[in-house]
Amino acid sequence: MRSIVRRNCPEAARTHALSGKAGTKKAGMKRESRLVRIGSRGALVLSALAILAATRHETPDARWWAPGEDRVFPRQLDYPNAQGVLRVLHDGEPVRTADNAFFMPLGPNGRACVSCHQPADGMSLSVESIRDRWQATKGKDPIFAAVDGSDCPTLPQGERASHSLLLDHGLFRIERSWPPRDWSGKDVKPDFTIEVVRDPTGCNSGTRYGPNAKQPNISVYRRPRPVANLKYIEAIGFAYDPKAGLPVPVDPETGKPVAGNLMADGRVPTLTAQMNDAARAHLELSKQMTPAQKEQVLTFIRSIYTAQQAGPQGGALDADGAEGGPVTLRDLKPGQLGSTGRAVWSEFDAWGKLTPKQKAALSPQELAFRESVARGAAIFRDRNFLITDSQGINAPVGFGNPVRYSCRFCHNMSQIGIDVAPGQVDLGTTNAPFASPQLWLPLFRVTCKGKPHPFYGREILTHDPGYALTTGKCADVGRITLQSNRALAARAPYFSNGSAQDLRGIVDYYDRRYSIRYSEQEKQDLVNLMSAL
Amino acid sequence: MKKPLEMRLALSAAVLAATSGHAVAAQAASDYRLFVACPVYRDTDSGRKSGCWLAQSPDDGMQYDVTLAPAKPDYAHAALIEGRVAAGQETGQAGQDNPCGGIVLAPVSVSILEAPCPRYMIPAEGYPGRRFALPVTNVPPLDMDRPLDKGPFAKRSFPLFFEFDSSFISYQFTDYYLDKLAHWLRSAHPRRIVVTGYGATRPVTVSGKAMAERPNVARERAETVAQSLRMLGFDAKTISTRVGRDKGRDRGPIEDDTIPGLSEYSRRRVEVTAEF
Repeated sequence: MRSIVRRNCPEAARTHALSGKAGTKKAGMKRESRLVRIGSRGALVLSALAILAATRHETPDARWWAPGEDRVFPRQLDYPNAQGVLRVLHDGEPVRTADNAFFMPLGPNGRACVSCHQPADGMSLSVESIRDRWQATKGKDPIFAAVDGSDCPTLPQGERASHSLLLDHGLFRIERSWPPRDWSGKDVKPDFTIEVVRDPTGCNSGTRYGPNAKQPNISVYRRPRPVANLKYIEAIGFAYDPKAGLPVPVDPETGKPVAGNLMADGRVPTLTAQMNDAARAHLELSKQMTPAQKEQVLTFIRSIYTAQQAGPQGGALDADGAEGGPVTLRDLKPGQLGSTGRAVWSEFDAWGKLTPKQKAALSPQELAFRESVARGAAIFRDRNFLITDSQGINAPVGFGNPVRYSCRFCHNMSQIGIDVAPGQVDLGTTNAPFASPQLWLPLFRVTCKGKPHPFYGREILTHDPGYALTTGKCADVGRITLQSNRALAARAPYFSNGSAQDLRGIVDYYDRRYSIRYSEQEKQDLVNLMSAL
Repeated sequence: MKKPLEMRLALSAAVLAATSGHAVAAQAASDYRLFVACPVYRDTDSGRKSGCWLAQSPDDGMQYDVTLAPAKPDYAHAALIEGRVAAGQETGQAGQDNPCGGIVLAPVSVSILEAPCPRYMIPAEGYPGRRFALPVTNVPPLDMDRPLDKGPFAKRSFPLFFEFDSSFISYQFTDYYLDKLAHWLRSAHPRRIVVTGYGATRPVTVSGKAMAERPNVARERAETVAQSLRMLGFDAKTISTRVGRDKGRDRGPIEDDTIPGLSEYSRRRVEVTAEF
């Protein structure tokens, strides 16, 4: 347990900072405010320790799971973070990491799958962990490999400035072929041209990198997506993809339909194809993983469920009738539409109906948090606003432009908040004029050769064309696949390009993009909800 | 309320079809409306998807409520509207069931055109809009138990309808009928599936403008449906595609209760024929 306390110090320091910020903003409103403030460093550590002691489950000696270590991955892991405690469930027998390909450094750069899919970070990788690794290893950790852990392999490696996108924004370089290739590996004839307007990393210009290179390619920069709760990501709820006007896509390898919810740009149809892609691009394997290794990884990752288990006051998120935490995720059926079945985030409905006796047993802070989370869930589901000019929503589906709906329009799958239909949607996070300037990212000018984009017109300025780098269609520029809403507290920053530094940043982006005009209370309720997922 | 309306419209469609060459004149004098307009979004709020869509016909100057169309307009683009004045809405007078502030068209189809429009959005002005209800044309989820249809099976054709100049299979409408068709085909195991695409390629004057679909659209529709059937697991070797001849508007609407009496919509279709 001593090691946990030691590891918690930076977390607690961050918590303290957040608390101070909230206190400044809301000065003078203490008595009436229902905002939840996170406790002091000591309170958090104590409450987290209390939970850990109460759960009596194994906690790792070290928060970081390094490739090639010989450890045991247990059935349950709990990790304190700034918003409480994250729980990772492994629905299977404990795994010895030295024998499991997920943890093995298979390629020459020393990375394993676990390098970028860390349990404490909700099986993704937070920017805090990235910075910790830079400090702990003086930049030698395999996550900083030149291939994608630097802004561009042509830059002098080992210097902080060459890894600024990873260290400052949690972004890895993703190199896509140009023209795009379909799932069978065949070239797609794009209906748009692409020019580089700005290239701060140098990886979209020259003879090796960029659309004018000898082997043309485009570098974009993205956050790693969590490898957990995968039965939901793989679930197919309906036979049709309303955004494509076709049945759900079919895996060319197996001929079977797939959910279409993998990867930000949908560039692969299955987890197996994703492994092949990641092994080549991120682990730098010159040959494919063996079938046995793939099977081992698939079995392991499909058994992992993560969600926040305790809130900032230390209270369990499945207390008093609530059903937060990963057990619900593990036990319930995936692929269900929240609007016709179990409502999205109804896990916290019970906290909106606490009895006087239940309320009396809670501290004022815990009660305020629970009530805020329940309100946040209701706002997420029912606070409607006008959604405009978003490809994948307002076109081509037929919902109309504009259409009135809430967050759950797209975040509609029960328990997880992804889209039951393949979820490629343009929220504007990567496209002008909605994306923030983000001068550290490349900027491309896309020119539609055929029909103009339904909302942006003939020319589009974008940091990341997203799904269009897979389909070759200008109408798909900036469409990014929705991702799991779970374990958010463990894996900042958010959106595919890391443009939201914290949970409040997500709410603020939507508020601005769709002119929602959330009240301060509504914003805080949504933040508290997301922190509890 | 829906069934009697559909029966009534199916009857009027049959009458129109029977009068053949007089169909256009008969429609002009009836409750049939066909026009192009810039749509107006009325920002009503009775919950999700409850906003109203209005369109003022340049032909008669009346404001129509086109919200019940399966695919809604885009307020930045002109819309081709085809519909029938719903029962009880004939006079357009106050006091009728009027949740949006326009004469209700039902059935009605809306096709988004490329022509740009100023973005018109008006406030609710006391109109409630309509609470969203899941349409009957909603594809059932995959985990729903669906026993196969029982025979006997014989040669049969199924129409699927499309918006103007588009081969996109619309959500909660054409996808529903495609799904029904696929379920029937899975039950029937036909020897051959013939997919015939049609386009409204012969010009029609609408609101003073000649309108015709692209020559290729019939082929695109047939190929989209054939591709869909292949993606749904039907053997590619049993599927063939054809392009059918557009018989123009004088033919009148095809006899199908999916879009009763909408003759232009019925020209924009695919017919899937199962042969044994």
